[in-house]
Amino acid sequence: MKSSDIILSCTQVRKHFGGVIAVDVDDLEVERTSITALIGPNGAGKTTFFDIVTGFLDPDSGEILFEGVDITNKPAHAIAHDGLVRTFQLTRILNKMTVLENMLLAAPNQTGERVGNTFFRRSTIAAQEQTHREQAIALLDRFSLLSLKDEYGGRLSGGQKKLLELARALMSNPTMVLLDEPMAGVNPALGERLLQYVLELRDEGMTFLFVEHDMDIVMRISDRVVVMATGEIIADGTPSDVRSNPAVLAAYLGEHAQDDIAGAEEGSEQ
Amino acid sequence: MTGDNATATASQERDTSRSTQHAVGTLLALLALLWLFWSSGFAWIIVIGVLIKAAVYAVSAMSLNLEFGFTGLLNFGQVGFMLVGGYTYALLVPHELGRAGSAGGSWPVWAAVLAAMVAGVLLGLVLGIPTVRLRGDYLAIVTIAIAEILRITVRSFSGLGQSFGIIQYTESFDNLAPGFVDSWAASLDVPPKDLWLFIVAWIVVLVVLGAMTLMIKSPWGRVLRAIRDDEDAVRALGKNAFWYKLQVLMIGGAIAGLSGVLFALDLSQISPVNFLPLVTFFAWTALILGGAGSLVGPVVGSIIFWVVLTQTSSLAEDLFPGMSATAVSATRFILMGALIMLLMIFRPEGLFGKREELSLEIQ
Repeated sequence: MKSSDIILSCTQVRKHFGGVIAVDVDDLEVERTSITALIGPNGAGKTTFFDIVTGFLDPDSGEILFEGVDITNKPAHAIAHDGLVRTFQLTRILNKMTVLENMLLAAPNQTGERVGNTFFRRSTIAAQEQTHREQAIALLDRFSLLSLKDEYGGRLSGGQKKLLELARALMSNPTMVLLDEPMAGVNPALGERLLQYVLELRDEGMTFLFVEHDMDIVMRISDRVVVMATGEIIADGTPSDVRSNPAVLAAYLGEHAQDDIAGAEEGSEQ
Repeated sequence: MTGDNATATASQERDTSRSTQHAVGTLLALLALLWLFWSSGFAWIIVIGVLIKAAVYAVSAMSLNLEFGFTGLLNFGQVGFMLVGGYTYALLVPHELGRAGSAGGSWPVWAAVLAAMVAGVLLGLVLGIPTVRLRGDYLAIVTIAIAEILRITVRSFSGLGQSFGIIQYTESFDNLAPGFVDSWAASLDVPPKDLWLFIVAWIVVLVVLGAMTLMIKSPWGRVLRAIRDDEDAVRALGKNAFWYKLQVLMIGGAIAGLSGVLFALDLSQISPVNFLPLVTFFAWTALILGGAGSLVGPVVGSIIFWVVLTQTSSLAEDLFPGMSATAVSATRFILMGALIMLLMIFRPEGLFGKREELSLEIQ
């Protein structure tokens, strides 16, 4: 593996809360244009790890490189601006803004985001808004949300909010997206289309790192699976490697895991 | 397809109820003006006096609206910004310090107004840097404290007039009145300087309202509303929420400084006692009445507030004959309190606010 293929690299990243070591990741590298799943039992530190990578939490120590640039102590907005965008486990939709406004907000580098320009560059702003509106509508259509574009965010169902959050993240034109349980609460038929879309975006060059509990999905779409438990990475490999790794089965998946994973395997073979 | 129709109906219903709401709000504002004319016995001098106060507080409430209504920042020290603006202006133009009578100041009006706005910007910056990263409540506590610190500080410095304040600073402004003001004033039977201030104050209201409209109905304004809703989401999308909030405090500070200039011109002499926390809460009341998060709300709210506050004394006298003047004066505030309570129960978003977007959660 050439180092230029690595888009995100985390070394010796540690974070503790009081006496609890929440994250203790020695080495994690994510390859460009791949889909990596991060799995692990509840409390394994997956979301905390996401928070650290995206600048919402500062690590106690360690180094995080994104596209070769040190982002360890950058603020969250700067990291997102660099193209590393996340979604949240508990969705953060702007409830008091419409679905379309949620989307338009995410467009990067808008001329009209500078207050002086709101007086003197109105025609440029209007033209940009038109372009962004078209982009937003195309994305909303893809996520079956177009009919809700004038609805307030707060009126959406849990699953719709998940979809909107992903659509909104894509609107910001990222190179890498961190998804925290993107499928939770999304109906299976729509979820399936979402997965297809994620695969398409990967083929177009986007990189995904996602936390998910649905083993079927994890095994099916991931190029690679990373397993965390009590803050550490205990396994890392292709879905089939991880599936047959006894340490994973013991530490993470528990007694019934065998059934679950066997089931997923059958499902993917059909 | 059915989804399309359903949302179309939903947003149409929203538009209909919004235009009904605006009609009701406008009607109430007109009724307030009618009441003002009628209860003053059609005396222009009273009408203009009340409407100057309404303009001063409309500007101040618009500044709060930018901070709270659109960005969710709680500024309970608005009077501090007005003090900084008013004092900067009064000290820079030709003036006399109270009691000592020492004269000073030579700046032209326009430069002093600009300086007053810059002073507001600087106060916003100084206040904002340490507090804006913290939760909203901290900003509220710090602003209320800063306003009191400023008032008490001014009271202790002889160069700032101490408790005697500053006098004789309105002349340079009064002298700018064009000729037609004199003839109009004569026909309305009001002092020309009152009419001149009335005209300028309402031009300022309209200019600030126009500027607010341009700023809010832009991607910049959209980021502010998003910050009001969920700051972390804004940061996750690559927008520097801290910097936006700081900008809002600075721009809000400039507008508040401007309202401080109008406040000082209206009073024609200022001293620390004019800058009690009550001023802040008057501006807040005007904002809440009119509807936080609505562009015209604070202007209408301020008109209604000042009409009710100044014209309820006759109502109180009628209701409770033989009551002392002090008691009548206090009754005005009781009536105002009752009005606010009714509003909070039946229309928590204010006259022009959007219930879906912002209402004070009272349940």
